[in-house]
Amino acid sequence: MKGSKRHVLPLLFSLLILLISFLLSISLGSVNLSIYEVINGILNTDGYEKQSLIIYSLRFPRIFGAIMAGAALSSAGLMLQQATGNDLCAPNIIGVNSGAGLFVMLILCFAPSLYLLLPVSAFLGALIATILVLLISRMTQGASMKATLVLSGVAVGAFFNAVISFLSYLFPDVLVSYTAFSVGSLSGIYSEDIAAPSAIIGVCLILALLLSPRLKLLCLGDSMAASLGVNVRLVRIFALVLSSALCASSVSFGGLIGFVGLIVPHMAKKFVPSDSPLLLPICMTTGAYVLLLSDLLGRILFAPSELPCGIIMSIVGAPFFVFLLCRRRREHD
Amino acid sequence: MIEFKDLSVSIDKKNILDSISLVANNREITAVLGRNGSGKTTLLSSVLKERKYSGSILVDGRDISLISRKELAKKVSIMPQNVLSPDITVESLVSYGRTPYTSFSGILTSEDREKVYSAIKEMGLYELSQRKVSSLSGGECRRAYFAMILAGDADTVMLDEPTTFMDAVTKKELFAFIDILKKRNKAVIIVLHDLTDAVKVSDRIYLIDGGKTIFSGSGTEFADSSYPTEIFGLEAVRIIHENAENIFFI
Repeated sequence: MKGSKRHVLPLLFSLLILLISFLLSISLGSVNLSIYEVINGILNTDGYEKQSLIIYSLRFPRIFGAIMAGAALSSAGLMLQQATGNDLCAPNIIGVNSGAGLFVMLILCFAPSLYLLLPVSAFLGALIATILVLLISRMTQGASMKATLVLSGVAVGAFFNAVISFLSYLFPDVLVSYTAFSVGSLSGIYSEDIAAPSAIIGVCLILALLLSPRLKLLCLGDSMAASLGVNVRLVRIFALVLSSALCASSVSFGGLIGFVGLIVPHMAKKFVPSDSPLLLPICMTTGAYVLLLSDLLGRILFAPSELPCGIIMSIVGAPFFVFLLCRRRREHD
Repeated sequence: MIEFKDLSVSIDKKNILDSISLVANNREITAVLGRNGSGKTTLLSSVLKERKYSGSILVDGRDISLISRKELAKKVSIMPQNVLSPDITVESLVSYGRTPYTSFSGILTSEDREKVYSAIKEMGLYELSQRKVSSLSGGECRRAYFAMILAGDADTVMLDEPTTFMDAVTKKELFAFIDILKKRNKAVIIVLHDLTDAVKVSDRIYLIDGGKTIFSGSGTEFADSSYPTEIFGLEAVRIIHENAENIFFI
């Protein structure tokens, strides 16, 4: 279609911003590296061992983690919004984050010696929350689950948050560790932390791209989409499971980074219309550079101290979201 | 051609349809009438395979339980009572009509694009093709959906109460659209609540009450029967205008 050719330009533009963010993230931080040092550090030239160590051990894993988490959370947000027909839906709304949070809290309270299992437990918690949401939706509505999906998510999230609060009351000592997780940060992540989650994210993003042409038909309503040959319930469940796996994978190494899943899909829709086949790829690249830039900002604003990217996202994201809402209202008027 | 044979549907242990049989032939308009809650919408939506039913639904002689959703969508198009106004262009909406013919990627072939373009032109939407459906008037939005159905080119078209909230102009456009479908040899099932419209456009009328078919016949036979008064409390009035008999229900 002629439209999709027109939308290649925004994709190239967002890829360019991602490349610039990538280069800035390599060179800037508590130790600033010049372009010359970056090139020699990457090539591991003699005399540049220190720069090489910084780039390969600290910055590359962190940059790669930010790109994967950003792409994962934004794609999950877009899929959830399309699956529920609710523009305000995001991973934290359907209880995924609370599930991950509760399981991390359980490890911190009852088996602190198993702290190495925190990423796995976050992943498990997110998936269990998703399964619960699906079961409750199925029980309460049966057919399409569209209306009850968000409500079930809110109920599961509220219950898990209540248990987290109860545990915080019983074990006040673990609150500091939990707060670090709940804020969301990419600080101190290593290659081994992100290898497995990145592989899962990669597979899920490919599946999301394959699902996208059917998922976008849900904007016509369930009956109309079904009349076009779409198995509405299956597409919706698949979208939810993929979104949860994407969030769980990103939570497992980055903690509960908020706002990416909510804001980035709306940003992407400013570049291309919601029916564009390139919406999801643009959403992925936009999410990647938004989180990369947030992380970079957190590293350089108060260097050598760091602000977690989750805090930056919330500080910048909340007003930006209000701006988007106001602009949309003006457009409708 | 579509045929419902002894179709029964229960929702929450309540019988909504009770052994209904109905045939809609090609090049015929079949109107389905009934009071609110009589099961008209359930009858149409049972073709979507979203709900369990007993009996059988045959499309061109083949049971739909043996046909994939994609193949079924090529043969039957359904327009629900309430259509949404999504934030997509008219061109995109019409191109969605070709979904059953596309691969998993959703990419249209040149033949698909030709059908989309021709449907847009036929429904007089060329000027509006790049406008968002959400910005269209109610009548224009309906026309965009009609174009989508034309692009889909299914043999059977089912319209669920399409005249709801329609003004006289949009209703005229709907009847013109139905005429196009009939000329293209399609089988059309239309659920209506206006008896005058039903008698005017249809070749055959089915009246459903309490989940059962209580009448099937031509518009004239329906007007002559006691059902308009019994079920709807209306009486048929005949007016001869320019040597043609017009039936109204008041």
